Amino acid sequence: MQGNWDFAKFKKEFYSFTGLDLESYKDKQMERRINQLITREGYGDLASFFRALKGSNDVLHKFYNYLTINTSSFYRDAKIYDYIEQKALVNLLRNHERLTIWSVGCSHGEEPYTLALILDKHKALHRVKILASDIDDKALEMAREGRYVKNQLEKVPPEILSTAFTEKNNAYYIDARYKKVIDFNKKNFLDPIYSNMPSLQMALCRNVFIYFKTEVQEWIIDHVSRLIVPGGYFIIGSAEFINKPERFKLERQIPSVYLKQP
Amino acid sequence: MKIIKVLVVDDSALMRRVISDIIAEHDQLELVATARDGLDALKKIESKRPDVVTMDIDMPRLDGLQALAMIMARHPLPVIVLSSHTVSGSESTLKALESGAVDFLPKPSMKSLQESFAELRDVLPGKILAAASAQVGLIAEKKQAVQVVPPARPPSTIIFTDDKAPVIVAVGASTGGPKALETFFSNLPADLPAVLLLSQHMPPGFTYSFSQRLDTMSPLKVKEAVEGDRLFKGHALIAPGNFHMVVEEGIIKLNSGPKVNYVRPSIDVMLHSLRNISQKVVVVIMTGMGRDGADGAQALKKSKNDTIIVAQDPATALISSMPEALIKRVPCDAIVPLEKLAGEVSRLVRLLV
Repeated sequence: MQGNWDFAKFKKEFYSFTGLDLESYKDKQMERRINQLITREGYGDLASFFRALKGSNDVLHKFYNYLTINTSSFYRDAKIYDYIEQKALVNLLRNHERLTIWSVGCSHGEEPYTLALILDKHKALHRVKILASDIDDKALEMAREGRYVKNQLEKVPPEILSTAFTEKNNAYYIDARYKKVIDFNKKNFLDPIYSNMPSLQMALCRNVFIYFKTEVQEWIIDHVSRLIVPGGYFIIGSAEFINKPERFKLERQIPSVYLKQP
Repeated sequence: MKIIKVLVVDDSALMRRVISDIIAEHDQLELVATARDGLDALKKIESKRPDVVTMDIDMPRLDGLQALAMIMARHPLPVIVLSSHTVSGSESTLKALESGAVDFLPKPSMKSLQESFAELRDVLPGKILAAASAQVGLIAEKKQAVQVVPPARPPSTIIFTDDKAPVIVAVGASTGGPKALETFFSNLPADLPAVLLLSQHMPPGFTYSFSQRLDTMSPLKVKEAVEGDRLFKGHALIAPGNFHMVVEEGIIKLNSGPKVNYVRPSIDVMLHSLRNISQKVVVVIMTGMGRDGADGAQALKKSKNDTIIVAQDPATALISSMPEALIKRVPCDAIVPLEKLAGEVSRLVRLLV
């Protein structure tokens, strides 16, 4: 009945259904990727693909996975990790015997493992529980396996690389003691997951906003920041920005790092 | 300054007179009416719109418990119940708190009228002002929400192992506590690797009935503490009214030292006594007026840096000032809504062991 949707129409319908804003992608590239998927999976055209998305959570989640291009590396954004190591974690370890940290959108595990490496350096690995979640099954599987290639580890300090990883056939495997402090779990942060989360000393929500329009971003910020105790930290991606953070009782410390206020 | 309008409900003319006089003397309180039974009270609530009601439980025609249920259903507002010191009196008081009363006061006993009137004069105005600040909406919401309280079981028949507890969970609560603690205690797991110590501001006599009631609701073995009790896993000990409960050399001691923060048992006194023990401590401060617990938690954190501090989310507390005072004073490890409190405390205890 609506056989000839153009891409603009698809974007509009998809947005009103999911809140996911495909506008943030370059149109041509996105259109090509979606058309490839439609052809490969035999959906026919944009309208029938949309009906399939609407009709099945499974198809929708597969599509999310397809959209999410997971490229990340250890110690990504030196300035932010310097601040986390030298200021945030020092403060938190002084005030709290146990830390609970949530890595929201943890991709292949680079972020939670980097935190674990830093905490280990400060002899505090046994004092932390890191919750790591992502919507992408494959990424989570890789995160649990903890297997990385050299170029993802470029920024890992050499003394840590040699003690925390085992090299085998050009692959680097992270040591089991880091895996022990991390719980990897599949979560979609648009689902009502927040009431089941514990109080947090730190939440990292980096580069997960790029797909969402402002209202959805702020909905996520609002829900995640409520979980953080006063004196705890909220970390976002280096290209991201929270408008009027005081609405969420957050105070900017350096770009991308916010401190929760009482 | 907001003037608080009060309705006094009692079948005894003497008590109506005594309470009315106390209210009349206080410049922030205004007596809007008196009522002689529950039916009369319901009418006067409609016509006089009081901010706070004080109500006797034993009354003709419509008694306090029935009236309370109707008030909470129709027109929720803060009610303070007055009840006798007897065992049956304390049981109906606990029922009243369950049905939505904000707070309660023991009735002056006929044995020593003079003395108990003086005591009533000391505490009643404060209780009324505190009640006026109660988030009564929480009670009304609560009534509609699905209760997660598991079915009551007979008093402890489970055999508890006498294992020394590696962690102490020290809980403090005041106004609004009895009802909130029922939710908290019923959701704790039986295998919690900790002993729970509770100081709830409550007069003597009431703490005994209250501990029995909690015991039937909670997977833990709950009892009123006695001198010499030891700290075993899965047990919960409640400070008896009129005594401070402390830990000395690994065992429970009770003392009737001076009141602290105008109360005995005091949460601060309990927490101060934990500064030199070997076990790790999780402090939980729940609903209540004032700031008992904040000083003690700060001092404890200072001498035992591995202490974990938990506040009930003030937005879910009938009276929010105690958890608020704690949050201002100490870096909290968790600030948790009442429904999640048991789960979060048990998670933190397990992280420690």
